[in-house]
Amino acid sequence: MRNVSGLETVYRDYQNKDVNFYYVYSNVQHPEINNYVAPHNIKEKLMHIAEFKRLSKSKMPWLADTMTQDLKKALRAAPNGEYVFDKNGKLIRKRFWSDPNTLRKDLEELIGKVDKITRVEDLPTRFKVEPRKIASGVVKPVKMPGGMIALVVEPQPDGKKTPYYVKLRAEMTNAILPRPKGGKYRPGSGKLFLGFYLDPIYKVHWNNKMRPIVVQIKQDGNVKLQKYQLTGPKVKEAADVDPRQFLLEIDTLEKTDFKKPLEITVAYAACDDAETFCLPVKQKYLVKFQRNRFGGTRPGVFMPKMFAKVWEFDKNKDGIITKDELPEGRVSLYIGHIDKNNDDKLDSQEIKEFLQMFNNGRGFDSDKNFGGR
Amino acid sequence: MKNLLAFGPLVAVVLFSSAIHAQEKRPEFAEMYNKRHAKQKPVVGDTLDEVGLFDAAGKKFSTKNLKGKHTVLVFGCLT
Repeated sequence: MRNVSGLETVYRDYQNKDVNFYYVYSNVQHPEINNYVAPHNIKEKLMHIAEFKRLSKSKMPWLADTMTQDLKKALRAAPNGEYVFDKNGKLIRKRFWSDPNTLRKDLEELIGKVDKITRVEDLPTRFKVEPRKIASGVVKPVKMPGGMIALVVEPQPDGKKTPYYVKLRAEMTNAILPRPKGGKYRPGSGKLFLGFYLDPIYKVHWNNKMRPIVVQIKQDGNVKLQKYQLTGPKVKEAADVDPRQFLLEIDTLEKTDFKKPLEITVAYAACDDAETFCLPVKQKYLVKFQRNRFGGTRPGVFMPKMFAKVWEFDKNKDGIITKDELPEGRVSLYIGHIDKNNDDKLDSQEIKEFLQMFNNGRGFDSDKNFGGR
Repeated sequence: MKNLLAFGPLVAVVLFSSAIHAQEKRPEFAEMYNKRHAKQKPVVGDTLDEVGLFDAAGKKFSTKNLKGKHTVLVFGCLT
């Protein structure tokens, strides 16, 4: 998330001046960053919030949106949108991207200036994920084709309340999905992506001495799949935390019934890092042939192209990239993600920490070592 | 044809100056998104619907609790 430290300064200056401040956790916008993927229930959303607070040291309170993202829908909110309401609940400011400097100006106008402005360097906030001791980057990610979109995934609770140590993300070739609102449907061949991610909040890993993950797929909607049973790779390392990803051929037909979802059963062993348990887990999901509006975008889709050659932006070669050196466009928008001390400059440490968020902590230097995605 | 030749330079000047004007007026990328977002409902002046949420402790929370103070809501997540 962008601008955590900058926003924290505004929060600290105005929290006692009749202003409510809340982060709202709706959905995971960039699944895979630091291996986080969408929580499967409210309890897990709350765990993600606790994890954020712990890692960022931010004091600003959070609200968790419902699993159906009701507040996000009501506001048609942007992933990092910022909304200011007056005392009567009337919307008075809205921004697609949170911008602490502009928010401060808004509050100065609405509430008044503060005597002493909190600076980013006065704060302990600096979002940083702790490195895991378990191996990562040992299982090659699948090479994703273009034109894939996230599908709606519905976990099917088994009544045992077993946590979703491993979470499913599904994507499919957009071109062979039914067109919304009666558009003409064209059956064809495409790809189905099934990715199983260990959620870092549970601090579990794959025990590679045990049986690898097994996935079974059932369908009765007349789609053809390349395989109906998938088995995870054999890995040399005793343990690792890399996602287990599968990319299958899928064919849809004129008679395909898209209302019938795929039924996915996954069996794996969840072993905690503290080595106190190693549990066999079996969980079920329904994967619908429906675009998940809140599925977010895997950073692998757009980040490598934008940041693989990040140092080329350093025009004067002084080892610091200033805001002026960044090209206009999407790249410049991500300065808020990288610029942790909010000084409008990117130093090598900030860039290193940013790049390490990707590819299971390995970061990326080029498209090639990011799996070509 | 004579007329065209006569007005040609004028047209060129108009086009050139409007190109410069367009360049000067070109909004920042973020500003472009903000402008587009501002047009979507709810727009500034609309009242927030009552929506049920959860606080960080998992207790039910309604947006009606936000009235009485100015409120800043910022959407975000772990990524």
